[in-house]
Amino acid sequence: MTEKHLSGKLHVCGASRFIGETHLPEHLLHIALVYSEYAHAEILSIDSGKAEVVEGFVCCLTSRDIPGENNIAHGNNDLQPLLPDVKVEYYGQPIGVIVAENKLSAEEAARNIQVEYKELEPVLTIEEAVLRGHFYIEPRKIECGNVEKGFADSDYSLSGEFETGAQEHLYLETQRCLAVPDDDGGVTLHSSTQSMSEVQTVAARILGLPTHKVSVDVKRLGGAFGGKEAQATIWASLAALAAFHTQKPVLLCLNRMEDFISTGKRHPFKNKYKIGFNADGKINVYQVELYSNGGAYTDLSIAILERALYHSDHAYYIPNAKFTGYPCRTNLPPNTAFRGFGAPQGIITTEFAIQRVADFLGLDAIEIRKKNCYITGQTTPYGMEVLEPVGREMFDELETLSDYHQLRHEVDTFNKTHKYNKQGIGVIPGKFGISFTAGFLNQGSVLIWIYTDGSISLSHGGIEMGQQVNTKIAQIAANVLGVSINRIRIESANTKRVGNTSPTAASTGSDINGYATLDAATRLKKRLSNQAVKYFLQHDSIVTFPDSVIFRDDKVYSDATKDNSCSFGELVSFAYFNFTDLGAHGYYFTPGITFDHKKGKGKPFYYFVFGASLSVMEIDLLTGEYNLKKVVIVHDASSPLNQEVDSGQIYGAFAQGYGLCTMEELPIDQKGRYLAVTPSTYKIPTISDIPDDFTLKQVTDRRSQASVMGSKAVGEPPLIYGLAPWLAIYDAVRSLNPESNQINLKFPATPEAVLTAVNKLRRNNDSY
Amino acid sequence: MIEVIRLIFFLNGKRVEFTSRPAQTALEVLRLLGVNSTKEVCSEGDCGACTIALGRWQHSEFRYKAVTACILPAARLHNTHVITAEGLGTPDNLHPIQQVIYENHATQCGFCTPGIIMSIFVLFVGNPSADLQEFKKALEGNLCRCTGYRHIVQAGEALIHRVHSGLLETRLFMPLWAKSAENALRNEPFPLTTSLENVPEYYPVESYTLAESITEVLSTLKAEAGKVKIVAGGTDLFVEANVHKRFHTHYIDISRIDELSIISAGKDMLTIGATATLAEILSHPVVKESLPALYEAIDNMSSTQIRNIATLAGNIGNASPIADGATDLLAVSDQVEIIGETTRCIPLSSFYMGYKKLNLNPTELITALKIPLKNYNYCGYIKTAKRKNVDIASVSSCFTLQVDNDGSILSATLAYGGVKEFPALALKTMQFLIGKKLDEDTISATQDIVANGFSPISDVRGSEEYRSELIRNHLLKHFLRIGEQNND
Ligand SMILES: Cc1cc2nc3c(=O)[nH]c(=O)nc-3n(C[C@H](O)[C@H](O)[C@H](O)COP(=O)(O)OP(=O)(O)OC[C@H]3O[C@@H](n4cnc5c(N)ncnc54)[C@H](O)[C@@H]3O)c2cc1C
Ligand code: FES
Ligand code: FES
Repeated sequence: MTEKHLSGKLHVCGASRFIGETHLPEHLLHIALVYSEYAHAEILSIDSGKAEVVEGFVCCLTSRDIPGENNIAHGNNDLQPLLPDVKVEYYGQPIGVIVAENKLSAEEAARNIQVEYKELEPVLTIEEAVLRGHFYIEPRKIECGNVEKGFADSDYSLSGEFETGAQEHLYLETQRCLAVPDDDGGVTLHSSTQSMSEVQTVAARILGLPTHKVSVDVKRLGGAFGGKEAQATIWASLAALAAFHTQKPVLLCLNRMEDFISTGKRHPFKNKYKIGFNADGKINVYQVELYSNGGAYTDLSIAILERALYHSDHAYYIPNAKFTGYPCRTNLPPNTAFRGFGAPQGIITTEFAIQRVADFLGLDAIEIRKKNCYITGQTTPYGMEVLEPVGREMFDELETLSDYHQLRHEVDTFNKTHKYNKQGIGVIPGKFGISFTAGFLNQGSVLIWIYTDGSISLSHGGIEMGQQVNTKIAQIAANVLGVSINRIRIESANTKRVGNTSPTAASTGSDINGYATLDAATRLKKRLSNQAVKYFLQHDSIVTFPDSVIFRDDKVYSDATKDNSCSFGELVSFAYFNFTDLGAHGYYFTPGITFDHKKGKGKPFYYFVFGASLSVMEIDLLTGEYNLKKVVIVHDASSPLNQEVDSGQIYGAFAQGYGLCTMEELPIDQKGRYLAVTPSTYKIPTISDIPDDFTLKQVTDRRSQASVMGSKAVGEPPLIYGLAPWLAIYDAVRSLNPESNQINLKFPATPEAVLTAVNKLRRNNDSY
Repeated sequence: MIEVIRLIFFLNGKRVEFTSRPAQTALEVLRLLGVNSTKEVCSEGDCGACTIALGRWQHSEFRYKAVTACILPAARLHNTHVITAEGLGTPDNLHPIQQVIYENHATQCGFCTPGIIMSIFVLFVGNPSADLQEFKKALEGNLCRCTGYRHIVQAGEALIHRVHSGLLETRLFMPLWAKSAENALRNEPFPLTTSLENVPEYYPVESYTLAESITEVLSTLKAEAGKVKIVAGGTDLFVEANVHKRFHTHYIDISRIDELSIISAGKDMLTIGATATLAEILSHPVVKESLPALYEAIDNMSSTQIRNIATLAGNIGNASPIADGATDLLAVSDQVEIIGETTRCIPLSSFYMGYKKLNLNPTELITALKIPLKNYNYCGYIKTAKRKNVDIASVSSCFTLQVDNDGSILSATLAYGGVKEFPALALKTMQFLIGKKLDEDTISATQDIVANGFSPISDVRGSEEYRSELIRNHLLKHFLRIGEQNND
């Protein structure tokens, strides 16, 4: 049986609680924020006179009211003020906090704050940043082989540019935090964050308190997708500041438009590639320069760029490679983590280059992809050995499942018989590295208590945001202790029970916390096994050994013959009366993760997740609109902890990738303002955008390179499958003129972008 | 001082009372009453997370509709029965719809889930034999960012299978307590009482009146000339209020004036009352039969939840350059019936006078739209938007043709949305087509004429170039459709 979502029954009844909805504390105060009206400006003055007379006004806090250090940057050398004092760096940057007795008066007061600015010229695009040399760090580099020789030895080479756009997370629950003052000057934060320890550390730093005076509690998030990894910290710190000053509980809850305007997005990239290959389609060399638009503060831009670099080989063995990355500083809201974390931007560039190779040679791109796939023992450009290259296997499975050659034939026939509609097939493999590339983050811990009635309380460092890390963790503990999952209550994540946690990110939530759970549960099982030996001797005069004791079905058996047993609860109670520690802390770190940034070599990942996917798209040549007709996905699941939870992750990631490469578009104006700031103008896929013809196969052959209990991480890897529709649109456009090597299809391929590409191609192609 | 209203309604079978401030939303009120399931995500009707089942007696029938509480004026809770996800089941005793979502792993973060449950609930209560296409259509207005929808579709398949094979009886979907709430509402609809309350001076709205008659509306409009805003569905006005914080001093809500909600079909005229909802218009048989373009236009407008509240008169009254209803009606030569000091009927084409400027006095009310029923040889609507559904068009168009026996065009109308400050007719093209035959030459000539007739602007929904291209290509698409139609 597949375990169901631990909170599923609460969710379907609308009974699950999120922050700031119902069950609010008494005397709650509300926050409205004053946001910068310029992307780049000096703050000359902030006048709160008119705001102070608004009924219900409590206080207005600015940078001057920060008792500690005005810096929320975490884990990097940048400095990011919580509230800037002299200069604003992006449109929508919070500059003042209005606290009032209710939301309406807070908003009214915020409208009455008068800020004087001296406008400065903003830098908004990668081009401008490059011109001015606005880079966060020296370029990061990965190299192998000899690039020059590679090109010299190649029959052909192609080069070009590829740009990707920003993407809004659009988690349904907006950013929020409820801050409650403690009686000793500390504060408790109920924050919608993926990084509770970061929130804790930063809020303490802002308030000038030792870390232990700030505690953070996170029950669940209404979606995050990376958007609450670094970017929950600012809101939590602002709420903490308000609670600190007012000594009352304070709620900060962004509305949708504020969330859109003020928070960071997926990084836009602009990449320059050059690829060298032989007439048979063998790739000799690939060179790419990646430029990312990091926005106004570093945030996670460097790690994101690194992951883009590590994935620029994607699933292909490239003997001669040079990948260089430049994170650019601009005056946009600091761009941030988003499912895939830079990898999609690197991967799609590589895949586009490969597509062009195929077009150039007049071969089916799937053949080029298969030909260049990693095989066992080859190493990546950064020197990590690919031990289990199942890429080929995934392609074969994909071809069989989709009946690829027949499908190709059908699509070609369709295109011959339709003048105003064309179909295309897009194929993309998956190879996604698992682990935080910041090596030290690869650690997890848990705390388990078994109470004397045999019920179990488990706290771990992972944050539940819909990905069901809680369900998986409970399964692991239940499995070790041989109890049903109902016996286990997964507690809210809380810095008081589990400290120094890593963000729940990089798809590692169930890997690191799962292993830590295994550790703690095994310790408890050992202690209970020892007690069981005593128990069976005393009760049944049976001699057994700790290793022989079996925990199964909420029972404890003396040994494999199962002649003698007691209930789990009975043994627990016995153990308690016999002075047994029924609490255990578990800990895990991922072994062997290292990287030398100077050399650009190391092992940044514990293992890879593989896969392959195919999409069929139909485009309308008169309007550029399209229809996703068919999806096939083959996914390397190893031995999933919960196959249905994993398939849910795959479906969800696919839809997000599909949105990213098609309809999700975030234009900015010359003042650095996003022009689509609500779901009425920013479109994400709806239920009708996902085709009924959708096949998912999870290959469940247990891999040697996998994680806890043979499982593999699943959060991010499948996002890549969602890029296949873009390649399918490209293929459909190309069918107009298969000879052309000049197809300018933007990413995302909005209907407008598709029509533009079609028309450009037609203009160059009179035969149509 | 503001005028507050004492709302009395039933919430999950229990009678509740609430004193509501003018122009509060239903979502706010439900929140304050402790409803946890109804989520706020966008406050503009676009995500469905706040979907509730709203039931009311209308034309002596008690009907539930899925509506988005975030843009529903709170006053409209009065004398209704509201069902939310917590009313359907409890974690220990799940409703069959909750059960199927749970079993199929169709909830992840859970934030969209109660809204999805309510959309499915209302679908099956109204249409027990719903199929998968109807299931998906009912959920187009419910965004989910986590699941990618596949598990939700699987849950739908399972549910449909259970219902069709008799394993589940949809009549049991409605909780038992619903009946007594419905009866109570029939027997004694509660009077609406108001009182005055002191509020801080920044409070933007002074009154929100649920009008009972046209006379009441007209006298209010006259008494407070220029300060009163008419609310029909409120789907435009409440987005303005919630998202853009644009309020009006007084609102007069006409949605409960039953005589305005009538749709009546005569021999050659269809009259659509000003408060008839888009959903009601869609379900009128004459619309589907005789006005296929109108049907298509409305069917592709917004989502189930919005179509359940929004009106066609409001679509016209909102004066959006891209309003689907207005664009369509322009081509099917609609008359707007307006009442003020006197009653007048004007063609829709003379109703628009500029960007958001209407031929309508602040003391006047649109009472109905009159649409002649003609024998069109072709009557089609095309909408191009970034997303297939629940999106505002980049360009939309409606084209009608009447052709005589030898194939010469007798009359042609062509209207576009998204090409100008207001929906507009392509007059030159229309004139050009008269007397022509539908051949290659005509088609290519009209494309140039039509493209030269408009100079659209660039915005987030499309650049000038894209729109110009769409103007041409839409016409070609209409011609292609005519070709297909003639081949059938
Ligand atoms: C999620 C969502 C999706 C949408 N999708 C679409 C879409 O696809 N296509 C589209 O065209 N629109 C769309 N809309 C906009 C809106 O729903 C429509 O314009 C709708 O028809 C408005 O009707 P209403 O009754 O709700 O208008 P209201 O908001 O009540 O009123 C709109 C305006 O008309 C005036 N008005 C209303 N009735 C009268 C009357 N009888 N006499 C005089 N003035 C009157 C009001 O004073 C107001 O100025 C969407 C809205 C939402 C929230
Ligand atoms: S909150 Fe999004 S539709 Fe109501
Ligand atoms: S489950 Fe998270 S948005 Fe649907």
